[in-house]
Amino acid sequence: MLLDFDTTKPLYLQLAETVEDDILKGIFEEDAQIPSTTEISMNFKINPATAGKGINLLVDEGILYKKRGVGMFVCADAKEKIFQKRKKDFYENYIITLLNEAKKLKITKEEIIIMLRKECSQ
Amino acid sequence: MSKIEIKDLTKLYGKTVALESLSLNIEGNKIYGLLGRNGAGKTTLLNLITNKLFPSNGEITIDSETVFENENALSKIYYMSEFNLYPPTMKVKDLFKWTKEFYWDFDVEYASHLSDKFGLKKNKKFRELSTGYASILKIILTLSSNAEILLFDEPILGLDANHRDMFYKELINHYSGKPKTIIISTHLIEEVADIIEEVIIINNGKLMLSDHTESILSSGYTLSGKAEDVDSFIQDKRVIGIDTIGRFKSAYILGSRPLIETMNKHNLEITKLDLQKLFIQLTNS
Amino acid sequence: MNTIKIVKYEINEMKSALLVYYLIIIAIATLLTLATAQHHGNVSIGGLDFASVIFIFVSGISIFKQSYIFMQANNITRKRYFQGHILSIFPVTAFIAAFDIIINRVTNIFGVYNSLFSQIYLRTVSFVGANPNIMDNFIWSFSALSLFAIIGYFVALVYYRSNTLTKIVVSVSPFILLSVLGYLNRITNGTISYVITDFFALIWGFKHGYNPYIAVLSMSIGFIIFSALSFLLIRKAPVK
Repeated sequence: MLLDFDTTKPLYLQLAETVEDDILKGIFEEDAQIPSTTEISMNFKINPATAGKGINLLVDEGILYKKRGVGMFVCADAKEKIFQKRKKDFYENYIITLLNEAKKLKITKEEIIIMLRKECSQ
Repeated sequence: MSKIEIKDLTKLYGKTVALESLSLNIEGNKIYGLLGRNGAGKTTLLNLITNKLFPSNGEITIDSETVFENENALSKIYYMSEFNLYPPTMKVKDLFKWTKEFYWDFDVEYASHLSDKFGLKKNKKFRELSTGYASILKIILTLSSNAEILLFDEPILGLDANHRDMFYKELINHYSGKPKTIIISTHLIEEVADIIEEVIIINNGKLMLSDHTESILSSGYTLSGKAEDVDSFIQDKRVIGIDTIGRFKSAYILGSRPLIETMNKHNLEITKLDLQKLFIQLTNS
Repeated sequence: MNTIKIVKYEINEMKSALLVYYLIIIAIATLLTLATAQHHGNVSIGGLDFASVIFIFVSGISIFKQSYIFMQANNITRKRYFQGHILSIFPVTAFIAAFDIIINRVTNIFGVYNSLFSQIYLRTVSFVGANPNIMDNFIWSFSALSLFAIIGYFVALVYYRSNTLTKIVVSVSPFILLSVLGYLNRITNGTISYVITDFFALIWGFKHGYNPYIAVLSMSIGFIIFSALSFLLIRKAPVK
């Protein structure tokens, strides 16, 4: 797990995304246990309440589940759920940002499409 | 769960005002950051909470009991003071032994374990410890006291990067195991920004701000871009501070964030408030 | 509960000082006894128990700051700490009083040692090397030592509570007082010194014969007065 402490998002959201990333990458497999809130907060030196908030967000979204007295586990369909969610975000986070950035650099839409084609064909 | 209530607290040293009508509620079981510049009144406040000093005016209570000469209230606190309050010739292991006499829940085993972890030699006398190890000893005494309220005054004084890291991790570990009220007084904000759940900022003896760390950080935003663009946007906003580097300007603004898309259209960039920057702006007088 | 622990701590603090003190005293007593052995009856030893009074006075001064501050580190209230300190005086002074009597008696087997008590209260008998009643001697010494212990403590507290200016005033005032009294004494043809001597004779129990228990009473009253003054000073003593 790596947190990059970027400055645009609250810490708990960043933490939740990091856990999601690690699930997508297969670092945390489905039905496997993830580190405890204490371990996470110690490791990143963040308040346990913040860590708890991030983890609970994932529990609410059905990505993690809690086994009483044991710890947190990855749900069986976690990957699929994350894919669905990320796809939705992809449009907002990447496409819109891409177009905005392009506008700043005065790159036309045609140029963008050419770039994408070129990249995809490789 | 212990609550500290501070009402209208004033402390004068002769004609110097160290604290001025400060009122503050500290709820139980949270980690607080007491932030202020050097001489802001942080240590005075902690010394008043632990009845090391007496207020010129106002009152401090712990769970509704005054702290003035109150055994019950005071025994709930362990205070890591920046004063060296320990007998200079007493050995570290004897300090553990005697502290156990007065703090019945003091965990000698844990203290011993932490000493090994931090490399503190238990046979050394207090006066033989370097600044860093004196801080480490005081940290260990505080954590092992098992008091309901732990006050740390500049805990990382003289600690190297490794020991600082170990301290923060141990603090979180300790707190996770047994939630309690913790106040960390420091002027090194960046290091504690993510650990503290609540922020108290004092400046020139006055309370500037007391709120959840997260609400503070989400109560405003940083806007940066070309100076003219920033200026035209911030005219009707509550600006708490501005940094300018050439034609580039960053403004720290309180209020809800505008949409990123609209800002991008104006070639302005939005980032979240940074506790350290906010602190500098608030205490810059 | 905490009071007992404070007593335990304070006695523990005194232990090593007491050990060193008595090693020196026993050494001196031995040397003096050996030196005076040949002149049995003609030369007497004295002043060893007077050294104890000085010792307890200095200990009273030196124990204050460190123990007060350490108790503050442990968030012990000033009242509780003061109780503990007062209670810790008695076992120590009782020990010194008893041990001094033992040294006195043992020395008297081999030589002549007049204790402070016998020098003061057995003078009428003019009997060199007499052994006074143990209980009288013990109670008197115990009271005297306890009084000087609290006076030392009080002096330390006065200095602790004073700023630099008050410290100077406090240090100089006894001399000023003495010179003023001396001056008044001269212009009143010795009335002042007569009154003072008379007063001391009364409180030390010399006025009507020699009665050590009058002195014990006076010293107990003195102990209470200095304890009360010390309590007033410590009640609002800040930590510095």
